[in-house]
Amino acid sequence: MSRTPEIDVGDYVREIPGQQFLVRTEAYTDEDVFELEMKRIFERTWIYVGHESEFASAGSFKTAYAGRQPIVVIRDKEGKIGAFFNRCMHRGATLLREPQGVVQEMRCPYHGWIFDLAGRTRLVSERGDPGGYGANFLEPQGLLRVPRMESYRGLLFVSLDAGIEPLASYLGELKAVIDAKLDLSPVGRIAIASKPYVCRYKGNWKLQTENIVDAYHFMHTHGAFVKLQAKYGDSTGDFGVHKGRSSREMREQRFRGETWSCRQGHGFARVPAADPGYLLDGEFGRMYRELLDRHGEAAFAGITAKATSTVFPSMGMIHQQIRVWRPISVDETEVLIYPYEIEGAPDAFNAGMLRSQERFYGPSGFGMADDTEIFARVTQGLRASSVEWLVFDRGMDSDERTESGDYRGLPSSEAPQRALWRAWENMMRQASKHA
Amino acid sequence: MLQDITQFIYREARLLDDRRLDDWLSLFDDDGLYIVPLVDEALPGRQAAIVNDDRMAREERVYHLVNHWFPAQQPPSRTLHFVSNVVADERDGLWSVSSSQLIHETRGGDWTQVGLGEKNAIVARVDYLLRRGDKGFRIHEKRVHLLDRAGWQGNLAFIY
Repeated sequence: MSRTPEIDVGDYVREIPGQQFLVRTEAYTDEDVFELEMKRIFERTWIYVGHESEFASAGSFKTAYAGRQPIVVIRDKEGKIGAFFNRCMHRGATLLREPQGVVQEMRCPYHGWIFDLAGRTRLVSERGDPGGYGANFLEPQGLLRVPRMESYRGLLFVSLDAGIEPLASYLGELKAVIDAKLDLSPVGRIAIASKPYVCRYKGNWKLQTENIVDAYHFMHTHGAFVKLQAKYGDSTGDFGVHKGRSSREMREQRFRGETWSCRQGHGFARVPAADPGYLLDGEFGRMYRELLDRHGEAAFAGITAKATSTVFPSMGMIHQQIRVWRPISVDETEVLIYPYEIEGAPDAFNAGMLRSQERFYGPSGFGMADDTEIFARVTQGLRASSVEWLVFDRGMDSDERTESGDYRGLPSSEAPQRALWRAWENMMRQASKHA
Repeated sequence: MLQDITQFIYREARLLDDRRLDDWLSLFDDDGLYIVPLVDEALPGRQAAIVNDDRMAREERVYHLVNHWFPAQQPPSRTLHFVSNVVADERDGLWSVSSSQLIHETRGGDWTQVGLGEKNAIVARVDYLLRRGDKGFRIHEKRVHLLDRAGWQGNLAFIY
């Protein structure tokens, strides 16, 4: 177990309602803060570990992490998906080390102990041999199960906190974003068929949490892409995502819609479709018209909106992808980007969306590499610790408090970033069972 | 013929290293493909690729690199390709060529900055399908199998 740092997190976030919102530099750079986050945040939030479609058959597994704790998620012979800590109960070696795969059982390579797909101990090797285990040996019954696992519409989350609120309530307002994204499917389901892009960057995990819902940066960090889009439009695979408009129109489009700061720490930005007529009369008009008939005009506007969202602390949905990030150290983070398919949509639709993601995301895409480069620059800049604070004031005076306790802001408000920091401060102040 | 083929691949590598990217574009067939897959299957299908560029996408990528300022290439990457282990087979006028490539990449400027001044190595098996026409060889397909394609990548916002 790592050391328990003694730090006062009481003065890391300063909020004067409606006026000022500051975050202390050390919240991104201090190793003690990072150690505390692993316990106080990653061990008591809901952590995304995969989608049901990734577990096709008995023995289908995926490895994941809650903070830095290794987890394996696996489907058993009865069809149930379980989550266990990925370590042998004997001397601790990880049982499975491929990111994904199919196994008959979980066999430890160190001394040959075997656990079945439901995590039960199947075999303690050489048990009765000379020097083996005696009659009083307390055999571990099986792998340690992660205390909680729940699914929301096929999205699987685990929590190390047995007492955490149910997933559906934890997701709060963000459920509407997930629902809208999944309701683009005529059958209400998505599927993950592609392997993910895996990118690492030199920077704190919270930079990704902030950035995936940052409508403000797009015209600046990705300004060159905006010019590229104005020149090439849909001809190179944008697939209508940015609608091939002029830089000015793309800028105006970004100042429509809304941002949200959810009380659980989630944030999202939602921009209505630039031109719903383009969808209804376009190549996939039939699919869209059926959606309009089934869901009605208001819900259809939500389904066709561009929404980018983060589930606190480490999962996000943007474009047609699920993104999950893994803190490695205070200044290193790994990001996995899983493009997903809309079940029941025409093959050409899913193929087109995949091409549009190749264009912008991944290590050679026109967007992702710029974001990770900026994260490295932030990491470098924050070494100027003589500057005490980062500024998150944008849009504060126009954010409105909702009945649910969330805030709704104007389109490029930093409301979604404030969501992260409000939840962060709240959780970091509360001592957990372990720290 | 093998010598012609290796000379062609060396020249392609030199164009990339010298950032003569418009000349690099002209090495491809109109229906040519520049692809960096994440998996080993021949066609990406339902699988995302790191790069999956047809002619328009190659032009766009080059236009972006040559004309735009953007963070991932400020300063721009400098590369040096080492090409070896070239094996070539011909079938129906299409040459199937396999090579091993070691591509050193660095971005200079202020090497004290995070991410700059690093000496990165990209190791890949690079397979080509080449067509021989009146003006010599043309690339019908360039497929870069990164040795570490299943693992994490850093900044690959240049052509390699």
